Amino acid sequence: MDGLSDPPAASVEQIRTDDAGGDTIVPSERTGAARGGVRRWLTTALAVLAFAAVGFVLFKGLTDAALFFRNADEAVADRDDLGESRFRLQGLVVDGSVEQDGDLVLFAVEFNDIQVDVAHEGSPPQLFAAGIPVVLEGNFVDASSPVGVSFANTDGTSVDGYYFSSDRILVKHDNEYEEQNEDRLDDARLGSESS
Amino acid sequence: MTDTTTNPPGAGMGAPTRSGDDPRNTASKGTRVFGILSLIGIGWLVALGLGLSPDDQTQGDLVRLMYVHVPSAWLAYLSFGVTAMGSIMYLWKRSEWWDLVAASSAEIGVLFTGLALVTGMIWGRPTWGSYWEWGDARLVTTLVLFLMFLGYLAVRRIPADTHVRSRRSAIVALIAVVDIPLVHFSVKWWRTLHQEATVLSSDFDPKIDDLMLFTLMVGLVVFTLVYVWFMLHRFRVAWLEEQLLDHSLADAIEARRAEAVGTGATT
Repeated sequence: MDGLSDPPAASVEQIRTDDAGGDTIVPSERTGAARGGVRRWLTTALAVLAFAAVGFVLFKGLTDAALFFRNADEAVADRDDLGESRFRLQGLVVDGSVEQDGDLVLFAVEFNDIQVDVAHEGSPPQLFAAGIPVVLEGNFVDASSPVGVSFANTDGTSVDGYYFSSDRILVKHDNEYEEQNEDRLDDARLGSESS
Repeated sequence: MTDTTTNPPGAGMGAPTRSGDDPRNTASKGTRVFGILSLIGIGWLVALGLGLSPDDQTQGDLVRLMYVHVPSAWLAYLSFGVTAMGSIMYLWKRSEWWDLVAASSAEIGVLFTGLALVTGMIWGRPTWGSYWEWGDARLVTTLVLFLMFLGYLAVRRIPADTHVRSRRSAIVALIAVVDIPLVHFSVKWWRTLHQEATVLSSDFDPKIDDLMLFTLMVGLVVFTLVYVWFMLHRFRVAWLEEQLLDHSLADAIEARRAEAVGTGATT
């Protein structure tokens, strides 16, 4: 809409009749150039800023997008390299593994048949439940050192003496949508698949 | 963006009062048909989306955001696709008509890309537990799309000769539109929190409840109608702006001439 009003206004500014003849039209060098210059500079700066913002976003976003998360099996395979460094862990919340323990939520996630025990500090999001894929932020902890977390609930699967200490849960819901309680058989089927 | 079915101020001066015949009015029979269909469609979509369609098994009511979020994203693709087409046609035919098609569509595209981002954030907070994740390729490429077409609109505002501006912005649009396949396939090419496509799934077997799918389809159709409606009006406004620009320049020259002649006569 600015485009509608400004250029004509500027054009009118630029049109000056000279004192003598009254008939010839010459653009005013001074006011026209100054106004156009400022406007031009501003818009160019704005455009440069917009593209700089794009560059920043691309850099910030896609540097670690290639490895947004590690699946449970990959994380276990890379555990020696990962050490205590922070990363995102992805897996399906194992059925019947979720247990509240004081401030901690204890559960296990699995991917490709590899389970990882998780101790999460804080309250999980609304949709968190068994059978749902989650992305966790945190790091591996050597459970053999005295930490006071017991994973007896996950059928003794603190198998390898490590657990994942998480402080952030993102629920990675899938692209399937189903009517609530449409069919009990479906529920049963989904339940058996995820256990 | 408002419907300009009424005469714009000043249009009555000596102009035909029947708005359909007024060349300065952006409404026509066509836009009214699209407008009425859009409004009826929106009513229908609200009824389906908020009432008749079922809750989702895991998401409950939150699934209803899909009926706005997905069509908004679809309009982002459609709008910027049209912008790219208009830009190619401009570079080929050098016709201002195509340049204005590209510009009008880009404005609508920015609006709906913004809407897709906002509804996505509103949806993401309760479902994922996060408004925004910088590491998610779908989110980031969509934001890039939004910013690049904002940049496109900014480039259009840089004062320049009409054809310089048109060529310049056409090139920017063709650079920016490269991001659309990145946005669409980001969920396949990268690991993302964002789910993969449901309707356009690779096996073309959408895992979605029938009534939910129907509601989503109604959403897509209704949003497309709204796009056409907005587009007709926006393009006509752009066209009138161009003409006004030419006219007002001519008028201004004429006025100055007359003024100069007038003052010349009195002194």
